Amino acid sequence: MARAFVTYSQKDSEFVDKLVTDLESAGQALVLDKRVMLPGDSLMKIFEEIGTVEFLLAVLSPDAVKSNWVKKELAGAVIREIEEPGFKVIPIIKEGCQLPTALRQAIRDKYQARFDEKDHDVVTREILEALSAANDPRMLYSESQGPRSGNPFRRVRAEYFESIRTLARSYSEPEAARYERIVETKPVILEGGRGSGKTMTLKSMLLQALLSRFRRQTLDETNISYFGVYLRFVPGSFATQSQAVEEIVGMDRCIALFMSETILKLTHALVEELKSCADAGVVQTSSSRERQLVSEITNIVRPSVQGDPQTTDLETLSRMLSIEIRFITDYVNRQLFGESSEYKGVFLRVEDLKRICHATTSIYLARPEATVYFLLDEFESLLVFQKVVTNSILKASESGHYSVKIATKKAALATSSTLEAQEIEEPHDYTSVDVDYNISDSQERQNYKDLLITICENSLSNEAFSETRIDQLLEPRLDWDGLNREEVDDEITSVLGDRPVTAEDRHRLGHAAVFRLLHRQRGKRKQFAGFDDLVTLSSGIIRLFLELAGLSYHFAVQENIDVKGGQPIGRSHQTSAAYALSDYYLTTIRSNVATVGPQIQQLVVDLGDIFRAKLLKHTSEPEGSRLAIHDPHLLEESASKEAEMVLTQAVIHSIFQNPEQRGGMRPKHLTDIQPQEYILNRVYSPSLGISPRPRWRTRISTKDLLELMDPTLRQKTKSRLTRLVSRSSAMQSELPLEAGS
Amino acid sequence: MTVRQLSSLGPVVEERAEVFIGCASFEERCLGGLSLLPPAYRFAHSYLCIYDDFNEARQPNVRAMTEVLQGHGPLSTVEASEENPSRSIAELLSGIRALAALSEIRVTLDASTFTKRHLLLLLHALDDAGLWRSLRILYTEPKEYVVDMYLPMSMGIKEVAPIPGFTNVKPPDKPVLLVIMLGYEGDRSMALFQTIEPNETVLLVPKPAYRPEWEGRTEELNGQLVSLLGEDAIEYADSRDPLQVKTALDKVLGNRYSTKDWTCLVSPLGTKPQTVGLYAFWREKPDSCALIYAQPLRHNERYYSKGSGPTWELGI
Repeated sequence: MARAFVTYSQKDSEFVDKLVTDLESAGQALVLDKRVMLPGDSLMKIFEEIGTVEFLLAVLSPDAVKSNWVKKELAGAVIREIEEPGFKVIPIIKEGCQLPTALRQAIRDKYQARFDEKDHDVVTREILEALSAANDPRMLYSESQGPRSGNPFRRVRAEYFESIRTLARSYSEPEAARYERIVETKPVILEGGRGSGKTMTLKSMLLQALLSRFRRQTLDETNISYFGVYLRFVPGSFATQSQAVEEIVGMDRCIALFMSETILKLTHALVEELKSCADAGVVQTSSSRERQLVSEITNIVRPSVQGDPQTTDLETLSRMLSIEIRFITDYVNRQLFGESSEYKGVFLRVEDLKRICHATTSIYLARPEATVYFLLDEFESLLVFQKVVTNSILKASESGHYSVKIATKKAALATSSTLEAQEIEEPHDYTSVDVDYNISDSQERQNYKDLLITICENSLSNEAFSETRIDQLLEPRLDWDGLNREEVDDEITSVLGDRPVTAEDRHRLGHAAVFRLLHRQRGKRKQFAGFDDLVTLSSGIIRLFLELAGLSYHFAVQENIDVKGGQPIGRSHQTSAAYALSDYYLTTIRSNVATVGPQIQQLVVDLGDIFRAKLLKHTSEPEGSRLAIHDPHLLEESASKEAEMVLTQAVIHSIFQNPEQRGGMRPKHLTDIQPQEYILNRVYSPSLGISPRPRWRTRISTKDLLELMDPTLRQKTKSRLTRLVSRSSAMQSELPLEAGS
Repeated sequence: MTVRQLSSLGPVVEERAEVFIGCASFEERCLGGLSLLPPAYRFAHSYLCIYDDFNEARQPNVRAMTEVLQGHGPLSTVEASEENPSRSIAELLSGIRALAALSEIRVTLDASTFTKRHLLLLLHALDDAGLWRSLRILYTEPKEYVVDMYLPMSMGIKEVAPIPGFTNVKPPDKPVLLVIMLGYEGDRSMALFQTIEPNETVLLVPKPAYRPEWEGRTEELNGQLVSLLGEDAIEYADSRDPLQVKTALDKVLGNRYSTKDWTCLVSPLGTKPQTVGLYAFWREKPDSCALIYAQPLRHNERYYSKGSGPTWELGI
């Protein structure tokens, strides 16, 4: 995200405060001296801060033009603007300001924000327009993913596949050990971030997808032992999926209604899937078996009407199930508007679902040993009581007539309770599968790379690209980013003292040395290029990798590179893609994460500032973007509720990753406390100017975290933490070098 | 055209007790419909909904509306929660039922400043009570929407949630089709799209806009989403005529997409008359779709609507 430093005279504080409020409310990141300077700080710190931003907003007023300090900042910035194409000065002319001739000359060709000539709101908008620059990351993202982009990687979501067959053709299984755990009869909970392939994996278990992948025509040609039924719990799927209904109808009634509605909808979806398979000719059955199944289900769902003559086939059964579901929605609606009414339907139980599934496999499919797999996507959309009911359905699946495969975002399970007061437990009741790859682990990183290569091969082959190996298509980054090794060694020597640099030293400190050298050579930015770099930035999330590859392709094609014909995507295009995607994700946290988006975005930017200071100054542990909260049990306290919510939402949205998920429990003894670790998603690294390799921990306390989220204490705490992490000390907590780095 | 611009709120011809329902807002146009009342106009009862969050800018309008309505008959204020207006609707209906037999009631609803979620629930409740055919809906346009590309009209999203009472009867087993009735809040529609991640999306753009000079604003302010989905995703629906909106929805959720093959979600982020049109569609095809809403974290009141424009009677 482009940041702007505001230089002004203290006498214009009132004007500046209003301007800052307006610009920040539109999402613009600003740096002000009063926020970064603490008593005792050297004035040089201001110039260091100006060195980290992309814009300088110079507020010019009668007082400002007399101020030597403003003149110095402005003069330095104008020189930097000439030297660095990426840096710009925007003069802001306050009302009633007569500029000295020399200054007028210096800025005569520039855009000037003239509050002396136009309405305040109009000029504020002009400034925002100037700051947004030509390359708005959100528009770039949309263009690269749009239907006219020609981007072969644009199908980054299962949702983009128009049919189950095209999805099946493009699907690449994870490594065998992982996939076998997913498809075994036992219930599974798949946890992963957005775009980690959960939906694809669930849908790969649908019969028509399986037949397509194995190139078979019918179920009878296979020994497949399960029958998948997919449901996606989008908002609006259930009458009780609303806090308002929970409040008005009451919890006990809501639970009973939701259990019935869920069983009816699972059954309805099962019937629809059977119909679809029958229509496609992949399941062959007789009309007598169909009638028998319909009769069995009708008797369960509508026991008062034995042998309903109207319901004779799957089509009429489907309509009957709709009517039963309508009883629930009508009842809920009447309750909502204060009308008294009776529920006309039947309260169903888990045993009813077992009977329905058993009838389906034994009668309709004539495979009594088979199991119906309910593939439940977006479990995170459910309310807590609905998750409890679903847990009960999962726990009762042990009889083998049905199984449940749940896909959910990380940290969104919320509860392991059931209606029977027996919790669901792993591994007894289900298998938990993490679909995000932990790229710090060398074996997982290799598995992830193999999967990406296969996925890209599928995509590139489908689009008839000459080169289908993504690792060949991405030009690799230059060693040391094109800097001299001697320069890097000199930088390392300056840290180590007067001794020869060894290979081990380069291994430990070389990466940070490159960041420092580039930081001093303003205008040069860190390169991110090559398959390995993009794998790292994607943080083990498939969609992020495909988006990086897609944006790289977009930039290359704009410069007439014939990628389809086999020309590689250049380093500069990949680097531009890395920064653009990083900016995109950073700027959209605010609007895309419900309720606490603005707080998370601010926290990420602040942590980025702290990690960057450590990277540029710490002599032994520079790459410290592994956040460790050393007293996580304090997050459970009521005063920390908001901080805990921010962390949870950040994990749900993959903004933070906590691959080891340890710590957080209240210790019996203080010595037992394990820190809670979070890794900032590496996709933010380019934008934040930090290393994507979280090699060392940066320890903070829960109190620090709370203060960073408190608008009145934030700047002070950030400055204190920045100073603290910048101090070099003996190495205490080195972690194994990141795999592949 | 089934909308009619009003210069005065003429008396209702039928000999029925008339109930007025309105909502006090920080937007000046909440007073627009009332300014058309002739001095001798009598309501059997008026209900003024006031949201329970404190808003300083709303207070003068509450006072002004109260003063006007008290001059036209008895008045009750109904406190409503923006997040869960159901209880206030139940209270309001119970009051109406106590006035007279529902068949003897006629309702004038000023829809201008209700939240869209509240408006949908209110229409649903009045319809359930058998008052749909006895409903006159007024709508006052703003004089101006202050919009631009850089200062958002709302910030963040609080939640993307179903509107209770408008859920899907069908199981969510089909690909998801999201119809977004677009407004001026591009970040909000983008956040909704990102949260739902539909298989297909239709962007319903208000056209013609309220004013010729506003044409193209919606597409511009939702440029990111339009660019991502392509212009093929755009369909148009009148900004102020509910029946034409209903026809447009029939075209999308009927002709272009068969609702039996899709899990359909519709999100009303467009104009209030479009929201009325959405209800008119839904009441005829309640099994076709669920309605969802992306509630903003907060509105940027400074950059919202200004003044009162013309007042319309919306044909339903």
